[in-house]
Amino acid sequence: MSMQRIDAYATPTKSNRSERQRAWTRIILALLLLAGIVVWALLINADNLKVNLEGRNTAPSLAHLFGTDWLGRDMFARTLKGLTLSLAVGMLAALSSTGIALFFSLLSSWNKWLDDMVTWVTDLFLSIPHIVTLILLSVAVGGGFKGVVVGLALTHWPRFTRLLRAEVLQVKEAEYVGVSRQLGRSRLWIARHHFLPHLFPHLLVGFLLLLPHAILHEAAITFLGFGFSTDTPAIGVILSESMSYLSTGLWWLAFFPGLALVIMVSIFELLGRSIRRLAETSSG
Amino acid sequence: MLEVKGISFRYRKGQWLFKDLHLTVKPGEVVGLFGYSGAGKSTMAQIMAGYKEPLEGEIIVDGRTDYDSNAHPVQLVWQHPEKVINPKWRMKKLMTEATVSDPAFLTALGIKEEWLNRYPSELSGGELQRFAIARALASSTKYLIADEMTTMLDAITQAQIWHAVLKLAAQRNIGILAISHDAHLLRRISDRTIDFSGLTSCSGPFD
Ligand SMILES: Nc1ncnc2c1ncn2[C@@H]1O[C@H](COP(=O)(O)OP(=O)(O)O)[C@@H](O)[C@H]1O
Ligand SMILES: [Mg+2]
Repeated sequence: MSMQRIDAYATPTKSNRSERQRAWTRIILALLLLAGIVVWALLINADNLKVNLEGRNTAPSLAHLFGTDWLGRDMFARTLKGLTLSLAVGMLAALSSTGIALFFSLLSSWNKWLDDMVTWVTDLFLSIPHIVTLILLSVAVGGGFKGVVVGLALTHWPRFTRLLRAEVLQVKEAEYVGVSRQLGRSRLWIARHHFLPHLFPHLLVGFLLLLPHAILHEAAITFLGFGFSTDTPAIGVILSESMSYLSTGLWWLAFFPGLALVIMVSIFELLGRSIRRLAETSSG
Repeated sequence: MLEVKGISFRYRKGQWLFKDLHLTVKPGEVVGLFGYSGAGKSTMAQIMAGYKEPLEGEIIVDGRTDYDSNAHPVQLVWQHPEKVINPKWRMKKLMTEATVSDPAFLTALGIKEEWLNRYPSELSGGELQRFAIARALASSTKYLIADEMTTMLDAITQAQIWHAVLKLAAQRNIGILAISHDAHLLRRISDRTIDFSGLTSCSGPFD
């Protein structure tokens, strides 16, 4: 009976293998697209972002793929700059939230009292609508760039913490962890060597799936006027400014930046899900 | 001396598996314990090695009862090695989990150098069990409880492993409690054998 159990988790099956191949293809594709956005944004000529009153409000053309705005600035260049800013802020936010979630989930494994505290704080945060905590926090630290980053970083951990906590508590019950304890290994050692390797794929996937969330939230609060100031080249700023021009027929001001944001966010979703597939079908 | 002093245990509100159980294993002694399946031998083994608390009674190891932050002097080898080995580790990492004192012992157990770089899923149950045994016989171990340790292995492997374990135990004066339903095996390796149902006033469904 035990022999069968060992065989059961040995080699990946054939369909597993082709699924892994497809996942890898998607991951590489997503990474190439993201790298493309960043590199393109870095290569952007600063002249394109300059005010050019002769070329105001031109519709999309070959010279200006996304058209120009009421100051004659190239919308393609502004969109790419906005995307990279969103990306940078999103990364920072997702990284901090992942760190907080990891810390809390390990804290949970320590003892019953700490676990109760973590659960309590998590439930508290989850009971308030996310956008509300986001705005409150970002206003509390003074708004602006700092407000957005702090707000995003401190509000994306609760759901993730819940997931990681469940994982940690499950491994904690594993017999191999019990053996480690009886061999005199400390809690820190066990956290480092048993819990972390188990959490690693979850951390990676969770981080990647947090990114689109953070990016959309950043655009949302900026759009609502609680985020970046209007001189920041952020997608949220572009979108909220262009709202007042929509009625005058300048549809491209909102359409392309909005579409670009949705596409970038989808790429991250794709990346996160493909890596999750890989982790689920891996044998080791 | 490893002394089991009047321990009792039951799961939740179930039947008592055993009550007022007494047992001693001296350093360097090999005690064989047999009993029918479901009698509570594995449960007793886990209590002796500190995995579970007895509801009554105590376990005294060389006069002491607490080892909270140190390696437990009583180590248990479980029947199913795949459960006690982290599937994400390579085998050489497993060997750093405990201080394995004697590299020659690994060879005697039949552990091959190239296995050290493999993951548990790339080894057979018998191969994994050798690693579990090597780890359990860390330098701090004074008593070993072998719970159906070689039940899943073929006769030749079984003989090889027991030969290595008994030799090391003799060298280090380690006491062994070997639990098996294979009375023939126990008679060959033990200094004395005992019947689990004789140890306790209440054992299993026949009481
Ligand atoms: N974790 C557990 N929870 C509840 N009952 C258990 C558990 N482990 C074992 N048992 C029950 O306790 C009894 C004794 O089991 P065990 O100690 O494994 O006996 P043995 O090793 O002698 O076969 C069995 O009836 C078994 O079903
Ligand atoms: Mg058993």
